[in-house]
Amino acid sequence: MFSLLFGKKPASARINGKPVSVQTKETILQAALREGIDFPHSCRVGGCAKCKCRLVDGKVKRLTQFGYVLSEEELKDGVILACQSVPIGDVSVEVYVEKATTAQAVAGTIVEQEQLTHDIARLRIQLTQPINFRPGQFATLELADLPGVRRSYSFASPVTPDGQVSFFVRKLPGGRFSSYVNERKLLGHSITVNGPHGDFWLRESDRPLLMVAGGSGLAPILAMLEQSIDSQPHRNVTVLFGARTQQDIYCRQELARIANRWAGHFKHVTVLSAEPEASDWRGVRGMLADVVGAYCAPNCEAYLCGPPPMVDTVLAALDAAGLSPRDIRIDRFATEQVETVLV
Amino acid sequence: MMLLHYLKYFLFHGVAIGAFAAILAGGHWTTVGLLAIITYYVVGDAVLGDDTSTPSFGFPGILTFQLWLSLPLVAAITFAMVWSVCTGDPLGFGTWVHAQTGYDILSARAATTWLHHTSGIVLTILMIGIIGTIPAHELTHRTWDPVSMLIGRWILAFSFDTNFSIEHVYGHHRYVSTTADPATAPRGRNVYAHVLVSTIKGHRSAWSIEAKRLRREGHAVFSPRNAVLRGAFMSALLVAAAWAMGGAVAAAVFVICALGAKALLEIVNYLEHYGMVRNPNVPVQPRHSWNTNRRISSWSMFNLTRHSHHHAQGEVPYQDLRPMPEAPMMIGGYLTTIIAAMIPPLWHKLMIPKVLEWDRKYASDEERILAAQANENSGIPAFKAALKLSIYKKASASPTGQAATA
Repeated sequence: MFSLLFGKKPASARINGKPVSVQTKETILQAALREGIDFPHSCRVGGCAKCKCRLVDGKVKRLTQFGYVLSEEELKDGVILACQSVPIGDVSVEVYVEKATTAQAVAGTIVEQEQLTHDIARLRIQLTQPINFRPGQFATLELADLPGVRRSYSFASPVTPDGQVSFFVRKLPGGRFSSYVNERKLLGHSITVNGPHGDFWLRESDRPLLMVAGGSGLAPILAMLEQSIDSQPHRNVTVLFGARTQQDIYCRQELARIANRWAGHFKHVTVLSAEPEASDWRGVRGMLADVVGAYCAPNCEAYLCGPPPMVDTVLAALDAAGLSPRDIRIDRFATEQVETVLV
Repeated sequence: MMLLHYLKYFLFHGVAIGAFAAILAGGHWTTVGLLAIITYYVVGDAVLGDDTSTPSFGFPGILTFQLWLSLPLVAAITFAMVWSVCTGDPLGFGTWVHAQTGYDILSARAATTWLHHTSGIVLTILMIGIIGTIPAHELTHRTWDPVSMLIGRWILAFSFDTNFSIEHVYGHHRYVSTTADPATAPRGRNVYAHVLVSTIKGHRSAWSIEAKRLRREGHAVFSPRNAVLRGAFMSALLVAAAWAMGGAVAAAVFVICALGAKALLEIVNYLEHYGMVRNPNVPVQPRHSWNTNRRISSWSMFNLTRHSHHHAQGEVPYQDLRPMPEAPMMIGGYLTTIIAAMIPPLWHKLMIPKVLEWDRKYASDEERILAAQANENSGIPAFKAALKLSIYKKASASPTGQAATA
């Protein structure tokens, strides 16, 4: 009762039967977009009625008068504006979604190209219209300069209102796409982003979280964590990042920033596999698979992302540590395979 | 350091108090005040560069209260202006100020020439716009908060524009950068034509939006529930108050200030979306507004400058708007750009290249087709000449482009 009065407890909304968690003060539209549902919308201030849907169950707080845009019949029929409705307790709505969360190809321009390490480049792309994805998912990129060469990369940041997306591209020997991105100046060049794809995304839970990333595999992990600062920041998290040497480490600042804002326990460990014995590295050395067992908290859920050999060995190690396969989600870099096969 | 982020939004109140004092001080002080405030915005923006910080505010209530303070400030400035053209001393205000401060504002007023009064009128117009309409814009977006709505609409009454609270949210945000939006200036239109056209179409649109809502909710159109009629009554009350203070001259000066402030708002509409096009079926994107992150404008205008994010995500309160440095950029800070817009040859010299760059750099294929039509209809040779460029031809050949013309 008190939670209903004060709106403290996050509510849940069922959108066409699909459950979505709603944060305090969040509108149905904001919750849906945050969860990667391609909910129809446009003006977001209650003026255009693109986001109209039918309230089947529950109550909402209305942030504006719906009569400005909804007809008398619609008002009687329980039609509401998702962008102007904050759920009071649990609600259920029906919306006509033309192409529910199907992938789409969207044109974009490269607005930033930054070398994160000697062989990993970050591309930031301004899309002509936003793609709704769940952090952890990936998209297929095609440069206008290299028609027909399509490679898949994970989104490296969550959905933002400016329609910008970013990706980490690791240079592979002989890889056409990855070499091009790491060697040429691409600022202002056109690129097509086709997505979202994949079901590697962070599930809602309060269990401890183990994130294991190898090489450029930090991309989806960073995107998932950044989004979770708002949605589930109380989980205990361990991020294990495997690289070869100190010069392969990147995004330290990004991880530190997430750690600062994280409410639960946040631990970040870098594991180097080929750092020279005599170097000043005081951190952990070895293969991810050798050390992962030590960081596997009881009852934890694991998310693995990296090149296939790394993922497979870590998987075996987690199995040996007693983690059930149901609690492990995997993203094997298909692209690295494609680019390696093509060499 | 966080304290400074709260304080920077109080600069606005400092400007308002300065304007109030400059008008009451009378004589050349009024003109000096006007020039000082214009210099503050124009030179400040030119010298101090951009502010792209996005701090997170722990006490947004303070910021909301800052916005509410706009109403007493605008009321005080307008009162000072109207008082300065009265022959008597309504409310004994002049005597009271003299007694409190030792400065004889009654004799200062008597010695004020019409040239300085004109400065006072221009200053009041600027202040109703900057100190009034901008916070009122922010407040009337908060449709869920009756206090903010009431204060916002009373501020808007000072520019005879309570209809803005209806048209802006339910019209402009829906249709922005399309031909259906009264406030979006098409290519080739000059600012003076826009002030007239947008004012007339905007008020007409507000009336039809409000009438439609009342009919839908089963209420009579001519009733106290009609926010357009209530707003007209609020403005009429202000005119009556000015009349009561100083008769016809006082009322006329107030009417000039109010109409001037409304014109200022339309100039701002003009520069915020000039020449942009959008397929109405694509959600509003950051590229559909001209943005600027100039420091003084941003601080003193409650981030109205971060217009790209405001339109892409209208529900975000001003302090959380993001700078979006990759969005299309205005030619300068707000007052600088306003002055440029008021000189149409200069405006078009500056803006034609920017609009064509927009087509090249930001527009989608569908938008390039709409842009080509806008160039064709602009009546400006430079826009028409651009039609030869390959981007417009390629756009009409592309699959999405063909869908746009179909």
